[in-house]
Amino acid sequence: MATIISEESLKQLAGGLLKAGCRVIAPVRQQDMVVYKAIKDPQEMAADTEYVLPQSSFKEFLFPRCECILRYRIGEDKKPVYESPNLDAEPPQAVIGCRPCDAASLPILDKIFGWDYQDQFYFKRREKLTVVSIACSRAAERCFCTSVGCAPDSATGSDVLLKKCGNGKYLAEALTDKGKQLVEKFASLFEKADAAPAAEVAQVKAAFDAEKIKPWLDAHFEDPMWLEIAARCMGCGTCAFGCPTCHCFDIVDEGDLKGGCRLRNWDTCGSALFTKHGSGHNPRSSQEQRYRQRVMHKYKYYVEKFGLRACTGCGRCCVRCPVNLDLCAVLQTIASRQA
Amino acid sequence: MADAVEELRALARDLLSKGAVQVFVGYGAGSVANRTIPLIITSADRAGELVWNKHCLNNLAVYLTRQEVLKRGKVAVVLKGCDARAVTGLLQETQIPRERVVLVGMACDGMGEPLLEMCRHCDVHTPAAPGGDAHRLACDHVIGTATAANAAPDDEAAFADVAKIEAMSPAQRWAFWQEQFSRCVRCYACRQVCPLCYCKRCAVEKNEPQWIASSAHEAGNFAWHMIRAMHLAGRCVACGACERACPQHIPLTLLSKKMAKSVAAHFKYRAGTDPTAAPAVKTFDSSDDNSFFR
Repeated sequence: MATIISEESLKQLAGGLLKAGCRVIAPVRQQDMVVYKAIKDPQEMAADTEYVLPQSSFKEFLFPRCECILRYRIGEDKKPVYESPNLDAEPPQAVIGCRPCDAASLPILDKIFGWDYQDQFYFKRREKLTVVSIACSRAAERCFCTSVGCAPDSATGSDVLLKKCGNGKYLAEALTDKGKQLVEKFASLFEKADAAPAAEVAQVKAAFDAEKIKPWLDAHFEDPMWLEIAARCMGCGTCAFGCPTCHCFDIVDEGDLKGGCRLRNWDTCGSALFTKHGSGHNPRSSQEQRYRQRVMHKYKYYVEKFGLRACTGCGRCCVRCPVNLDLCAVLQTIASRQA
Repeated sequence: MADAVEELRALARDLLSKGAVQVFVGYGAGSVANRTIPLIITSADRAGELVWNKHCLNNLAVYLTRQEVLKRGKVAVVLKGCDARAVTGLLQETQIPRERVVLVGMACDGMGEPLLEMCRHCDVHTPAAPGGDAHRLACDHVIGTATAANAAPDDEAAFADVAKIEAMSPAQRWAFWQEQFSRCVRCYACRQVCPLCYCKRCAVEKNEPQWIASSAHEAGNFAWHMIRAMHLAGRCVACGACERACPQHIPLTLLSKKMAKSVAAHFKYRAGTDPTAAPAVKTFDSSDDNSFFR
């Protein structure tokens, strides 16, 4: 028995969630881009044919680019008064129509945010998040999901996976309890079919053998290749900020004599300031060392620590980089070398 | 373009093999058809990797202040006419010793497919050669001759997009920029790709005290883009690198063009065009309008 939902019914599902007080995040057209956005009306949702991959991942709905984590003010008795943000007051969230490579970032992010402490800002939202992804029926030029163990129809991280099956319909697969609850709650919007119709899933050819990456990295912390490829790196955060798995942050205080707030802001290892010590010394003093860190962290350190690569092969960094420092091409080069 | 690329490769081969330069910065093939990469080579054997086509958009002048390039020795850099304006600025601001760089000018009929809007208003299609006009920065080598005609330097059509913003009411303008800046994630790609944003420590990184919020909230983003625009007033050469680099598609050149327009109107100065001219922000003139002092 197969479960099917039409594009129209998917919008009704989004509408139903909105009515129930849920924050619904969906790909939306904005100027010349498609971006993940909290919608007010299901009609805002971009059609699946309008995009392959939204401009950035949806990580900012769990891990905002800028978030107040503590507020303080000087009380009338001159003593400080601290206020923590009330995360429990935040509504449940649902992402409708994300791509499997973005959904697949969730188990990766869960590791880092739950490692030495449970990051309440991330997990309070994560627990209340339901993910409905749509498998890719088309691939973009720099998609390399299949090279890093992900796929255009990967189920990882999704609660419900939809696959296009023609006539504006999707084959729906509820993968988790949350997914099953969602399908049950909106049962009237789903149709049943005796046999599963054929799904349209993009073909993404593997660009390199990922098994060859780590052995080379293990042996080449120092290698002329880093300067060769990364002298051109501009040191901006374009790659990291669009990345579904990059998670580094900075803590800053903003305030005046009466009070203020402590903020957590996205940060990036590409920036020279990222590792600069108070003494003025910078252990990563040159751009190629900073670029090396990005590659090492994703394909060596993360693997050693958590058994996962910090990459889903979405290819955003390859496309967005102002100097076309294409990570997929870099990984191809690495894979072609003798460890 | 085919002849030009051969001439360029031969020049790179010659400069690197003679040891006239240790680094050559040009364009190489990108990972996709419509992109190129900034190609940084140190060996004459790799000169054949240089390309010259419609997609050589990056302003390579940015590498003239980068230690990753400078630490390898004397550097030759490929420049379009617009990029050479940035080098003029760097020289005027004493950021690079002229004798440390070899400037390779490439005649250019405009970049992009379709042609970039800014290229329609270009008045520097062919970079200046040695021994020519003293009021233009002379490159050490110039390859090719452009067939596209130069636009008038005061081409008003180049500022048509700015005029649209100027025609808005303050409330409309505020709403426009509010919407645009709300997308800013503070990745600083705009700053990093800008040849004139060469400060060792950017104003936004000065945190004792933190003059400008580094957070990507509304106040922080407004402060950042205002400061950036003001710091580039009279210095920005309108190469458009910032806007092309912005992953959030914020129309950054609207700000820099507005500044350029004001500087031209008030100080009769256009950045990066004349190496002998006194830069507006480096000049004190007692006849300047000081009525704003109260």
